[in-house]
Amino acid sequence: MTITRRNALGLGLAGLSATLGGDGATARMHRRLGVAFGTTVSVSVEARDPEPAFKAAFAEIRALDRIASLTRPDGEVFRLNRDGCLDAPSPALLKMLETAALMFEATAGAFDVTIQPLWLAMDAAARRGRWLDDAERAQACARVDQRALRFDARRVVFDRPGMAVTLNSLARGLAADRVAAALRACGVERAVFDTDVLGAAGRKPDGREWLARIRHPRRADDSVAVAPISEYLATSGDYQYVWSPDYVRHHIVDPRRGVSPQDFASITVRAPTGLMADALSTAAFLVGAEAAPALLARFAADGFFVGKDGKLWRTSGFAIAG
Amino acid sequence: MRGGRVLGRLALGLMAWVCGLVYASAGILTRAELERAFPAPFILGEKDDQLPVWPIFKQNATENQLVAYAYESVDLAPIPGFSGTPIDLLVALAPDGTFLDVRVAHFHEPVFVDGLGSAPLFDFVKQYAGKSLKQTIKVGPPNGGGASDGAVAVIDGVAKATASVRILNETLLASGLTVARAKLGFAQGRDPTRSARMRPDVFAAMDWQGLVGQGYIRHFRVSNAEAETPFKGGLAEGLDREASRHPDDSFIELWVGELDAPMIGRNLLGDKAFNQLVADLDGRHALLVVSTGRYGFRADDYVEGAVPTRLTLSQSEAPVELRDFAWRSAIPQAPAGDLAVFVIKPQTGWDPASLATLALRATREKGQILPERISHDFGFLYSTPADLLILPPPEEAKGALGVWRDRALDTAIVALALVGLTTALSLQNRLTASARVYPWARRAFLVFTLVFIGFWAQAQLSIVSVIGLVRQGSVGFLLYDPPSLLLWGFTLATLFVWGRGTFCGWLCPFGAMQELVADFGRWLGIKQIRIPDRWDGRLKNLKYVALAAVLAAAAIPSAPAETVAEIEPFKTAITLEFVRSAPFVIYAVGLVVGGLFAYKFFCRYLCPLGAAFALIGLARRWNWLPRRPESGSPCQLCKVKCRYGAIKKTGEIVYRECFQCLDCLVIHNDAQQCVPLVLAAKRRPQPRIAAT
Repeated sequence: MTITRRNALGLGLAGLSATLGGDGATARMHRRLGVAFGTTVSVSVEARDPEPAFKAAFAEIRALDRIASLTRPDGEVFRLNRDGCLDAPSPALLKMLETAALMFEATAGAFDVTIQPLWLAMDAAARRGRWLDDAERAQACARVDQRALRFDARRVVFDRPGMAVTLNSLARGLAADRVAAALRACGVERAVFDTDVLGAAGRKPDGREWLARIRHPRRADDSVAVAPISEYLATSGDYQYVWSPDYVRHHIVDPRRGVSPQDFASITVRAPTGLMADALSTAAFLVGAEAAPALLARFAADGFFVGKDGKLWRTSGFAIAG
Repeated sequence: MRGGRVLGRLALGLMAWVCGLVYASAGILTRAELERAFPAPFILGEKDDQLPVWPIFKQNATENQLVAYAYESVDLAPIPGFSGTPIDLLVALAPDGTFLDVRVAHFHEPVFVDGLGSAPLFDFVKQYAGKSLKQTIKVGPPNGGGASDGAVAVIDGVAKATASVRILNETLLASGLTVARAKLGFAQGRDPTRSARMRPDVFAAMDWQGLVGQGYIRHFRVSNAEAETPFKGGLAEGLDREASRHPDDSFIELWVGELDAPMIGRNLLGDKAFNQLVADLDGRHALLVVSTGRYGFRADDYVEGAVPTRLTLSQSEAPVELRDFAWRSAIPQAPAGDLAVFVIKPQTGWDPASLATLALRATREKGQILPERISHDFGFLYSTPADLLILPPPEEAKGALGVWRDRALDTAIVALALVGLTTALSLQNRLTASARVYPWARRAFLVFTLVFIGFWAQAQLSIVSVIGLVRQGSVGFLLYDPPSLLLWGFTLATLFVWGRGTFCGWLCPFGAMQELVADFGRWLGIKQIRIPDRWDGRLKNLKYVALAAVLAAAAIPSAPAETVAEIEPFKTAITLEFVRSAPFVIYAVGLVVGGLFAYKFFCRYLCPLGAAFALIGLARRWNWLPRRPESGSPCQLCKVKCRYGAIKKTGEIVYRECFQCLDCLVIHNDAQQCVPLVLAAKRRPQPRIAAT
């Protein structure tokens, strides 16, 4: 997989080097980087021997990466998109599809994992330096409708030909949940990890909270806020994959109109699970500034918003450090 | 070692080989070793699950950036080397396809093991750092100075190790491309090695109008009306008043052409300036862009020498970087307006023969204080006319095929020589008709064998290849050495016709060297020792022992087969031309000097390759040397004259020991030498002189 995505949240302020602190005899923090979901992922754990924890954590990340991959022939999403149906879906895939259905309902169809045909058409046009015309857009939109995606424990199937899903707004979040569980199972008490959705366990060795840097949507090395990593944090931004340099056209697309929403430059969501944080950051981006707070509240989540105009605001439950 | 045990191990080894239990190829480096190989500031990531590659990161401000994938070539491209064991390289390949670092992790190449030493190999691989997979990487002659011009990177070869470094190059490219395709999104329709190049010889005097008329310079136009269309229905509709007022006028007119094509460059710049341009470009392409109209491609923030903001180029859906060339000279013929020359690096994979999209960005602003910017890219399809270009040959050969192309001439000369030799040997009676001419014809061919086949084409067949066959179960490595492959094929075929003699007597460079030296010694008057028949017969069996030892060592994985194979002085004498550490040189020189006194005693008594050929030669179908009833009884002339001791007292030829020198045939056909003929002539009634 090529690196296509810019990290939204950074663990920069946590100040972790590969191995940090400790006196050698006791457990120390160890960090392991990897490539997954088209970006850099990291897992940091406190342990004497971190290898079992790394192994378990990366196994979960790899599994989700494979399931959600749009290009790997051994991945479920690839097979579903290729064949139009998939027998015996994995529990992870079902879980993501269930969450997708929930989000579709909660956003009145703005959040739609069957966006892929439209997205591909827009991306191909953008690479040729043009935009879809109305006819092309209508043609692509006709293949987008999450209600035509039916699934149960035995089978996933598209009702219409030419449909395709993308789980890119769900897989990283579920990976974070799975990593947290895997680390717990390994007996790790102190950890922080970044599957493009941030999660943590315990506190830093110095007793303080793990912190995340919320990136400035226009300047990669600059940040707009620092937030403690409580529960899970996920960010959606208009800068992560851009079609037009003015950030008007980007990878988050409203399937009902075939355009990118224009309210936000980025949204960072804190939610009880990684999966919900991931899904809600995209969903809130799609529903716009007015509806976003209510949507987040419905799922016990909070948000930190950066408007297209550079304005910053947050819901009352979103804590920031300092 | 006892013979029985040798045979036992040999059998075991052969069984393993037959069962396909050949050397498993797998990486050998552990995580700790890789961390040592890439110390801070590099961070070794978690090994990939699809390919045996390790991501390497580097902290860059707040982000950990992927800077390379590290891998061992043996995991991805285990191409067997000359020892039969693949060369294992530790490679770090950057996401843009550049080799960050190449090191040798493990190797067994005989020529480097204790021939040239490992230093030239390590120096050789160092050259790859900074070279890109987007270039054509070729191995050139040694000390070629690495003449690289961007599109083509030439790596200096290593003298005496031509085939080994070619295998190494192939290993590196094959493994690199595997990683690049799987991990770096490479090869999405573009292959930089298949890009067209400028044809230097196409020229016709023409002015600007002519160039545009012929399509050498492409012309595009956007009218005001067309400029408005994409903004219709949006926020920026109607913002450009001028456009609405004069819909038919030009918004922009654009001319684009490749200035580095002589057809365009020489016509517009003149010879001198054009030649200077080509020199400055140094292999890059130069795109001339000229525009007139209300809108120019040079924005207010246009920076000379930088990447333009309004103009972008893409091909096969991937961007191609344009960079301003800071062109300051006037091009008088061009329309007055914006003018710039952009350079395109060959690494971008730009193929002038393929369709590319030149996109011009038009931006409108709405609002006063915080204006909203609405942009549209106007795309123009551009390609350089094919008659200005040298198109790549269809299916440009890579890998082994590329080697075949590079060595086509050597291979052809060897092939021609083999055809000549076959013809001559088939007409052996005519070849040996003149007892005076024949020895010189033979010497001439031996000089060719020594100098061309041996020193030049480096095609000395060797027992090392047999080791490779035993170890690897294949002789694929010979595909990288066409002359050797040809000689192997020919030799194996002739074993069934003439026996081992055709190779040992005619095509072995070391054999030729010994024979020429012995001839010279004879001319100096050095007397050869005649080894008594009894001893000769025993010594001849030594070579089978040597062969058994080599095969046993090859079949036993831990045995130092390469060392055992040093019994063969070919590497020292022919491959390295005696430039090697003292013990090897003393051994090889000793054999050659010894041959002055005991004729070709290495060939006859010690050569394991000769032994192998002698054994296979048992399958020979014909006894092609003519004998006479008197041969052996009573005549012993041939037996005595045979310098190889290949004729028994009975007059029978021992083809296993025959080197096809044809000395006995010369005698057989010479009425003055062949005793039976001489006697027959004496017995024949003398012609009477007619009495007058």
